[in-house]
Amino acid sequence: MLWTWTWTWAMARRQPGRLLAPAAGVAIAVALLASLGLFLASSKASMTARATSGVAVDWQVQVQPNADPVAVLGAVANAPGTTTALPVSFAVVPGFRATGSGSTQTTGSGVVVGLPEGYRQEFPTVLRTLSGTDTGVLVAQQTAANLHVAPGDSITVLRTGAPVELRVAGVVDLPTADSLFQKVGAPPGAQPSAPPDNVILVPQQVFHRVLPTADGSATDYVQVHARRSHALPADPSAAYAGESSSARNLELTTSGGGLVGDNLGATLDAARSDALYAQTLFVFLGAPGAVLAGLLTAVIAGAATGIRRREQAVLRTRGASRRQLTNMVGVEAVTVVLLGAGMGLTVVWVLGRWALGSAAALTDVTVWLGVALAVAALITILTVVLPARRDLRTLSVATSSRAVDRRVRPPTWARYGVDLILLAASIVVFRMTSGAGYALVLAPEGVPTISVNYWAFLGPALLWAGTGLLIWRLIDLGLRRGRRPVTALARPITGPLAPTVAAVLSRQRRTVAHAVVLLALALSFAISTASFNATYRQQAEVDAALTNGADVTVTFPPGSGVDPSQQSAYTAIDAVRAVEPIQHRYAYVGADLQDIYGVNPSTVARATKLQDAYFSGGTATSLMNALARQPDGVLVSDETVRDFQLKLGDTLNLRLATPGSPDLVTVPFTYIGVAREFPSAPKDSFLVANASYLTARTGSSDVGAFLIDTSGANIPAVAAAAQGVAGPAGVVTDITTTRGLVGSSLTSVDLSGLTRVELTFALLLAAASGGLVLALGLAERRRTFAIVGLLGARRANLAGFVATEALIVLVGGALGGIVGGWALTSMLVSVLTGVFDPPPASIDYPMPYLLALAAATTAAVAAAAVASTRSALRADVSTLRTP
Amino acid sequence: MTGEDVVVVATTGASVTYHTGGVPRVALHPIDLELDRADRVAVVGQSGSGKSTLLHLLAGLLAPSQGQVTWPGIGPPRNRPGSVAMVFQAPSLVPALNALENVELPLLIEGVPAPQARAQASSAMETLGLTELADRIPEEMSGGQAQRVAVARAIAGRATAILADEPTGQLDHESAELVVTALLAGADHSGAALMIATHDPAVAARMDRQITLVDGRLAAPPTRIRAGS
Repeated sequence: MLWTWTWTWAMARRQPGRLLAPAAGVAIAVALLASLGLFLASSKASMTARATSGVAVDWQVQVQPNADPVAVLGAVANAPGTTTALPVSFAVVPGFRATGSGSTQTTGSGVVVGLPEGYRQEFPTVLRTLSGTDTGVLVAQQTAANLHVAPGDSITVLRTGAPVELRVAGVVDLPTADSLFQKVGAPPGAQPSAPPDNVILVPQQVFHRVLPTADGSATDYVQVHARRSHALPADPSAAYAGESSSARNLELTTSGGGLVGDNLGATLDAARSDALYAQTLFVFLGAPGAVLAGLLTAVIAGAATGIRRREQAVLRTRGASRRQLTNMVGVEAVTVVLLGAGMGLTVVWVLGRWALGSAAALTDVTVWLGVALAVAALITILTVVLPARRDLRTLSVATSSRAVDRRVRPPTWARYGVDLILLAASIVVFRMTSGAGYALVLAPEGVPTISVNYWAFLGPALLWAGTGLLIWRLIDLGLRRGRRPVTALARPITGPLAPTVAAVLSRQRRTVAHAVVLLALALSFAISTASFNATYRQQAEVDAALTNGADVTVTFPPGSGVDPSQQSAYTAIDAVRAVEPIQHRYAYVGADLQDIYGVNPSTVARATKLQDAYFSGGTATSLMNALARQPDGVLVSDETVRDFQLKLGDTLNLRLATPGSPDLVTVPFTYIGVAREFPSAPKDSFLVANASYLTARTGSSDVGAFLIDTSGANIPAVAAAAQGVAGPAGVVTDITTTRGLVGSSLTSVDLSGLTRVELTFALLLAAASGGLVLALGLAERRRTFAIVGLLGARRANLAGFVATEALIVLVGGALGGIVGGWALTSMLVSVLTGVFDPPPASIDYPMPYLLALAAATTAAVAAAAVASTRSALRADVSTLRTP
Repeated sequence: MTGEDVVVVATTGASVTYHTGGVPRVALHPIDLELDRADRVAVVGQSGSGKSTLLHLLAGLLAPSQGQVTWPGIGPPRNRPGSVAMVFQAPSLVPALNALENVELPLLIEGVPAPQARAQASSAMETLGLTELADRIPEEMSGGQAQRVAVARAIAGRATAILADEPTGQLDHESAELVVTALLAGADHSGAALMIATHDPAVAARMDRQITLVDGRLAAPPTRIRAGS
């Protein structure tokens, strides 16, 4: 055994390239997998942290009828992990009434919420004060609009007994109203479709004065609102499992007296789905890279096959046994794995600091490091050990130096059309996995575990493999049958050597085909990764823009009386490119109260991005044009169209509030199209109409919001300046802040770490595939170049010989890569539609990266060609003697 | 001087010095030599005596360190590929080309139109009785067959001299006989001078004259040996 190590040590000293080159291939695979694992672990932790930080109230424990609220409060407070527990009372009342400006407004049924002292300090994101004070009687924004009340006004609570009058101290927004007014314990489908329209919030003692329990209202209920410790496991799945178990345990502890509305668990549930999506992305985008690194290693290791065969032949003639030779290969393989893993992990350490800013995070990815090392061992076994063992069993000394593949028949897979079968299967699987009703992440209701539907992987994987084999077939066919075109192609640069070049490329076409296929696969990997990431980033930006409305948005509460002329003050701010006023009113569609936005359809797109995906039945431009042509036109939601059986051109009579009038005015609109999303509009139903028409019919041109476009420049400064213009009444939000707060969808996860790591590897793999593989192929022909040179070929002709092969590899690989990359990107975006919110209207091809990719690949191929030409020109008689 | 006695290559005080690790080593001391079209010369000597160096010098593959080499009437071979043809000891056929393509290769390099090159190559192979090997690639030939194809390649063009460096060094006796026969026939066919570097006395004996090199120097004046003597 000792002599095998001695042999390997000697090889490392005399032929370091034989160990370092395959080790470099292994290192790429290790570095790629481990760094993506690092990213995955890091992003999962950030998902958990982000999810938990966005929850306003972790638990809403509803005290069940006949249960003792004090006992439930005690149980919640004492539950492990609870940091704060406060009781909150709710009462449903017949309505509210307000009198002002000579008129009286009365609402439908409403909810009075009793808040204990210190509630706003403990749960600061439940309420947001829009005007007035933070304490006392607070009226929800929409209720204030319905009743036309402001701080200082009086409202009357209509109740079973005598009405009670209260003085309004402030107007508030309830950002988490859906969660606050949830029906605790109800299954997802049975939750109310919208929170109550009319809400007032009062201090606990006021609540008990106004609505004493003795009042006997059957709809009164008490909740215990709890804040939980957020020191949870980094993995959202583990965090979810722990948190939901605690919730169930509390229900058991209270013997059913408290039913837990587990908001924290629900958020973690969404986050664990997102984590699985991230894992899916990792597999989709990372696995091809690892396969490519494996193929690259195989080609690199294959370049040393001839030398190894001759060495084995010599050693066999000197009496070495097969077992000894196998041990020798084993020692070589172990050395390659150790070297490759060492180099790969060093790269991961550097990348960890660069892309994720943390080297300590390495400890979080032990599993992925294990996977990476296992893959390293697998690649080495497949590319070094198995070929060597096969040679030992099947090759004789005489056949150990074969260089030309004389087989005329295509390989078995080509004869049976495996490439075409793979492509056809890919289309079938793609249709199945991108059709309606298909879910990439499976989260069945009532089942605590979720999983990824890995069938989705099959379509792109089959496409990738099928494309690679098809390119191989085409190159093989082209070089075998197309000697004349190749001769014609080569003649301008190889002169009289053109027929020889065509003949050599024809007989050694499989070497060329390997290089073309590897380059095409590497390029398609790089193109699809870059384009998917760019599209992903684009949609994250769209999501943020949709939520915020524009780069900077200033919103005003209803009744603020903001005049459109204020637009000029915002326009005057430095770096502001465009400002667009948007009216915001409420309108009754039947009995349903909806937000209605008044816009100028000709100019609204100057300040905000309108995507075609926001609309149905036309593009953004066509529907804005239609709105401009039809003054009384209105865009409504899908749900409204369905609920009211609307057809294009139908008249829609909406009831709108008019300033200074107690009555709602009925205004006719014409239904002209569907708006699914609109900047700054809520996710549920809303309406979009002409601002001029709303002004004319309601007598008010009050602005609800100003959308400010800065083209991305100086957003914080513009936001600060806008706040100065708007004063305390205006709420200024900017896209930078919103980007970090948008929902729990995966697009809110920062993929920059993954992007940087993947795109760097993709570039590296493409350059290595193009340059290194070509160089290895040309090195195999060094003998040919030497002979041709000795026979008197001119330097230019020899250079042309090399250039012809380089051109075929570059052009073939680029064409295959572009077509494959386009197809793969389209498929990936379709299959992974679930990760986009909203779905992309088009794929974003990042031209700077793609140009850099083209430049790097061309440079690598050119460098390989130049180096090979120099080597060819240096070749002499001594080259012929080299085995 | 008859037409057959035309000198095709001559050396005047030509020597070759290699520099290995900065240390000069004289591989060939100054030598004066003329090779006529009619010459059939064997160069003999021990390994390292300078045989290959002499042939490479005459083929224009090496530049003399001192003195000069001239190719009267044709100029340096680099300006006219194929004028001086080499047959090497090591396999020198392009592995990816079949025999016919290998034979026509120097003609294509010389600029002969492809159809004419193909015809000349076929003719050369026919001359040496190698037609049945035309479609075989080097891996499918024996060492002797490959060397005979290399000879065909040497005579296919308008070579004025054929220089063979140990062409039978890796062959059995029977194959060696065939290769030397092919070389002689080829030289006769194309009217070229023939010089063979060899260790094999039997091969040397088939040449008209023999020169011996010892440590890079001519050991004795050229000895003219007639075939069969």
